[in-house]
Amino acid sequence: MPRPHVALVSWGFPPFRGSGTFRPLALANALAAAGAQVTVLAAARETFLAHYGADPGLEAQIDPRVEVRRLPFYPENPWPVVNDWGPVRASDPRRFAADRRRVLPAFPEKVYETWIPRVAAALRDLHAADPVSLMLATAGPYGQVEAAASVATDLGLPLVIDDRDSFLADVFTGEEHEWFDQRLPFALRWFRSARDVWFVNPPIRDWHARRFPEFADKFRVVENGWDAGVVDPARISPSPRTPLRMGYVGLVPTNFPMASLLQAWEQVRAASPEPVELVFTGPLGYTEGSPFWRGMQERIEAAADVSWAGHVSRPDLPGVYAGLDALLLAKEGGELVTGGKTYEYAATGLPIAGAVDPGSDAVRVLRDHPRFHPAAGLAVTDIAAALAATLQDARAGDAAVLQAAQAHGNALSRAAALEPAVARVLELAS
Amino acid sequence: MILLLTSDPDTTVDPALAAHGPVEIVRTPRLPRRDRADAADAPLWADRRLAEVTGLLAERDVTAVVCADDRSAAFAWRVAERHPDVPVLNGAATAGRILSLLAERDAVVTTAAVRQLLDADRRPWPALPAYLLDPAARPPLIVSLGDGPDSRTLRMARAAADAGYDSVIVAEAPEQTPEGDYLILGPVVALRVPTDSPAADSPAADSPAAGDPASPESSGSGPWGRLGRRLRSRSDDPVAPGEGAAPPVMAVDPVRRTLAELRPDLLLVRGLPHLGRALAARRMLKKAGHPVRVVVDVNEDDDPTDPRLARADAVTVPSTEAAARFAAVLPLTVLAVPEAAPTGGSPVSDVRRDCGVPAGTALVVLRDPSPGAVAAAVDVLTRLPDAHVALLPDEPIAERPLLRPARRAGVADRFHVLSPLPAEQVVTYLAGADVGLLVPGSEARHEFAAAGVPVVAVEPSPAVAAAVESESLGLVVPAGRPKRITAAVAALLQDPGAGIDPAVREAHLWRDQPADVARLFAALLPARAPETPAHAPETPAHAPETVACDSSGQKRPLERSHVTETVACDRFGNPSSSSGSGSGEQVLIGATNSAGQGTAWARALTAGGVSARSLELRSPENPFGYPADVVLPRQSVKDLARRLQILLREVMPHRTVIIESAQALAGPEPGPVAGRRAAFHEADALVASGHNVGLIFHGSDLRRPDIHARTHPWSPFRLPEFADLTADLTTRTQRTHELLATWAGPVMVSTPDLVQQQPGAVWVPVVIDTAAFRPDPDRRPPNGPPVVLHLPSKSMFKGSHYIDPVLEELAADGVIRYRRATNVPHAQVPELMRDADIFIDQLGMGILGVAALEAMASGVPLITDPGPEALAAYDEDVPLVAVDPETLADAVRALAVDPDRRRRLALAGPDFVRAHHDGRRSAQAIMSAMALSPSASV
Repeated sequence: MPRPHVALVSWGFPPFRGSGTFRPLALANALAAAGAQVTVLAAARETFLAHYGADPGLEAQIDPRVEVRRLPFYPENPWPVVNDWGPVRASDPRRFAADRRRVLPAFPEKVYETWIPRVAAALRDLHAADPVSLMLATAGPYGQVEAAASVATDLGLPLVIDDRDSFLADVFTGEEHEWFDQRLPFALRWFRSARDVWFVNPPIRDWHARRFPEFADKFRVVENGWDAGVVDPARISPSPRTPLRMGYVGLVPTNFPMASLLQAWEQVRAASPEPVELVFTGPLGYTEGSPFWRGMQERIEAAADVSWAGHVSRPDLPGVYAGLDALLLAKEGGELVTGGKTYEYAATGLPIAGAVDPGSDAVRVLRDHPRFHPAAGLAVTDIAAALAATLQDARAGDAAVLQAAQAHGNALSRAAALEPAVARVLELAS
Repeated sequence: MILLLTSDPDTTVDPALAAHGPVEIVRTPRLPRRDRADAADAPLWADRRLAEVTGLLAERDVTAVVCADDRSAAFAWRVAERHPDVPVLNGAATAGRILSLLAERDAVVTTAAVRQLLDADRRPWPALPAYLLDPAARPPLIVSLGDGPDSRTLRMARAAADAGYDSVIVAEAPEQTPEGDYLILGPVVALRVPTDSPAADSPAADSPAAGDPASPESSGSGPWGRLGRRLRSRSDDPVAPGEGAAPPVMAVDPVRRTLAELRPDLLLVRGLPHLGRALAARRMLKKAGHPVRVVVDVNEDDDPTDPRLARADAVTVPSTEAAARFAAVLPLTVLAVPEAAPTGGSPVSDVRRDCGVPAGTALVVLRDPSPGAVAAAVDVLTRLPDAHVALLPDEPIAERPLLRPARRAGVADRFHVLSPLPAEQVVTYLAGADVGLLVPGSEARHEFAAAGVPVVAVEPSPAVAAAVESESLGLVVPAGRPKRITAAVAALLQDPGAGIDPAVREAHLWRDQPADVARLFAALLPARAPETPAHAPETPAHAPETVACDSSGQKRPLERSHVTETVACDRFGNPSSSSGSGSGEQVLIGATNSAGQGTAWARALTAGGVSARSLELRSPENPFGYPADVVLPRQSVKDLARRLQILLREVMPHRTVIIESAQALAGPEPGPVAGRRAAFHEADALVASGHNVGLIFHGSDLRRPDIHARTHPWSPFRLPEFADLTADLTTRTQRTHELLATWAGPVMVSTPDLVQQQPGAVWVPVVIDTAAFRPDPDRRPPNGPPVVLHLPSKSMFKGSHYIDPVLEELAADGVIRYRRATNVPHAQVPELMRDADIFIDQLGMGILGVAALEAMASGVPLITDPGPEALAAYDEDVPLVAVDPETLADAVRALAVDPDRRRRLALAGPDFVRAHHDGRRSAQAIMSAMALSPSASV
């Protein structure tokens, strides 16, 4: 039987270092390892090297059997050549953004409008030169799903859509996306034409299944997981050190509950019988040196026994985790949001303070984790209680406790999550 | 070297940037704060620093300019606009990375190289023509500042324009529309700047006498007001609720603000009262790096010792006698520009013929329609029973009340009221009269003298009385003696004497003055010589897009041709009725070029013998673009100076102007005006200046959603999900219809259904590029189910929500293959058509759109909802399958299994499109609507 040829459409791909790169990277590698011929259609390297942030080292992680076709594309909004700007964008960025929000493009997604025809043309060319067995489009942007869906329908090819965080739902509010009405006709076409539609967690799948029961049998969950090389459980120390170090690892987003966290920390720190410290590691917002970035840095440095360790590269993360005694999980979002860090944290086996909405999907993932200490709510006292319990766990922990926690985390790896998904793709492609 | 633009005085250079060579930090000026945005000098905020950066770019080897922070972006954009080849990059870190990537590739750092690096498929914005960017690339601008376009101001401004300068008149107009407006007076543009309250930083601070808004001249009773009333009475532009209910309160001197926007090279100040304001403007402009010369045109009885005069660069005076008086006092150039009568026109008739008065019968001419003048004329007629009086007014007047005294006196049959004439025709026209009656305040002395018609001057000023006597121009009659007026007329009729000396007649003609004035301007302005006059260019003032596609899709150089005849103008600069004939029409179509139709119609007209070109103001929302003769980025041409330049260089040279979608091509309003009103102002101004103007609409710009929803059962305007868009379109199209109700000129529409919404509109069929869209001779029957193609754009108008589910189901059943493509550049559509076996265009709108016709032209069977109007508009069967959402599935299913019918449709489509949509019919429709005729010269 000939090898199936899977065309994987993913705008973000190494050297892109953003969070969106790891799922398609793992998918491509897993498919190649399973024997499929894999061609990835991704945005040009320069887009990431110049703007979005690149880690050229990540390219070494691409399985050499995977072919990557790069399509020139640089979204309009960050386009850095001022010669091509208009006067409104230059003089009144807020109005420019508002104007852009007002004008709904033919495909209801901003920034990536011109990506669709490029992907569609590239898919046709690819199929003409080397017939494709299955098209797998992973979002976002969602324009590439539209391109793949149109071409797959036309060519009569099986289509799998990795919808991930949902085209239709606002995962933070659980409501319909503000452009739901405009997006629905597209989504319905995709659901009709796709063999599978994947989501990143059960709540998002259920959200869709409730609304579109006629397609429910196509809706599957392909969870995220922790990637090998990011966590090295063997390096985690079972014995606490002095002072005890609790760490937050990852990006501090603009909606981060920093104020209540620092207040809770101060309560716990003051009450702690021994010295404790809290270390933030990761970028402070999306733009280095932005007012938000500077503001966060100042607040962190002003707090007692709190520090910022800067932004470390992905290969250095195992060392970061190895230097910590406890972890702080804090983020926005309810039942539709899981968060990639959740899986990484679980894999370490370290005690985890959960400063998250009790309804968050992260709680579902960690519910059975033996060292997870979720806050009862998001009030300062609730968070302080969770922090104190976590620190106590860190103090009391030993090798057996660590091992049990790591065993739980081990099942949450990306490889484990992708295994059935890869098998399904190969089944559909054959 | 890299220029780092920053607003932060403590900026440190990013090491990533410093790695690419020395970095020079340039502090950027700040955009005026919102509360200062209306300040008079706000438009000049960037000028001086921009000139410095331009100097740096010229002197140093600058590889890139980098914008370090958001506050510098507005200035960085100005630099980028002015220097399109120098990459201006946003963000020091990003710029450092981009420069590194280019260095790795050994690429020369240019804007094109950066585009190539980051997105090879990206199309740059159309570059602005040099005349919009660089003052040195356009003729010097002379702004006449005064009460308005009175005859002398206009003649001086005209002299500047004829010498090749850009010539603009700027004056206040308190009684005009709140946003002000403008007039086109031959080659001169007059801007009416609104003023309704005393200016807070008005020139009063500089000069108590300057710009007195209460003076009779500036209150609208002068020529400016007369002109305005004339235009208003014709256009009678309605004002939308809230648009003009209350005049704005001016926080600044709007005239000075206008001057800041225009950045003139020379201010020609008409009358001492405006000098203070001019000097203040000069100071303001100088501070921003713009040297301005000031020339004052004084009145004969002005005081030469006025201290402000010495601060001007030159003075012009209306007589040689006065010139001597001013020259004796002032240490600067004083030029006599004697007041005189314009000449050069060739009237088709003469006063005697038009009155029906035979030679030998006394004919007295009156130029002034005031009651006193009419009473004097009636007295003449009463006492001289064989004499006739002809009244030749400057502007149309109501004849009936005017003639009442003559009727009462029983002399109305000998009192002739004539139609106004272009000013330069008057002297020749009057030559057959016997006596001119010169009443107080009349400006006609020079006309009568030049025409050789002796005058009876009633109550003349001392200067006029002296001239009449010294030059033997006629007789002087003191005040209040009607009998003596008649006696003087009788005396002149009885004894005309030897007539007026030919040398004296010559001296009263405006003949040498323009050259004298031009020499003065040339002496004052820098070496930058004026170029070809903007109103009659022989070569294009700039090179717009250098290529366009011809009907075969091949790139070729653009044909450029312009009006070259000089149009004779009246005193208001309006081309005379006899001008322009026999020289071929010059048509401009713009400025939306929707679906490329503006250009397609222009090409069709040119092929039909009427040379035409298209202008497109390209919007950022239009990512693909169609070819046009001139493409300007819409967002970059919003300021007054640029709109004025576009009017002068791109619009006014064309005898015929067709405005698309009620969007102004230039619209140099001094204040902000809603788009459609600006278009109607522009149309009015062009019509008033003798242009042939028409309006053309493409569809949703005119089609009223409320009517459509009532008349079309599947109208998308009935759908609740489109309610917001429907409401917005309804408001906009209703406004357009309101404005159209005041428009008497031609209206054209591109789809037949619009004729019902705009009765009297002429249908101009859309043009299909039959070279690009043609049947594929190698087309073979489909190998398997036929491919059905659908190209949704704005899916609301395409009815894709009806089409998709049906076609997907049919595809799932194996009846068809469904191909759907979104956001496809138009250039790729022919290829998609070639691979399609059936094309589905819109459902619900009931029109035959461009994409549908392109499918027919390509020999692809068409399924659509054409609507009854389209089917009835052709005098033959339209080769398509008409469906609605309910019949779509059956129609597709039937056509999919009926190759014979598909073949018949495929064969008939191209012939049909060639017959109706290859441009010939469109050109004929436009020529008919616009009364154009082909010229052999094209």
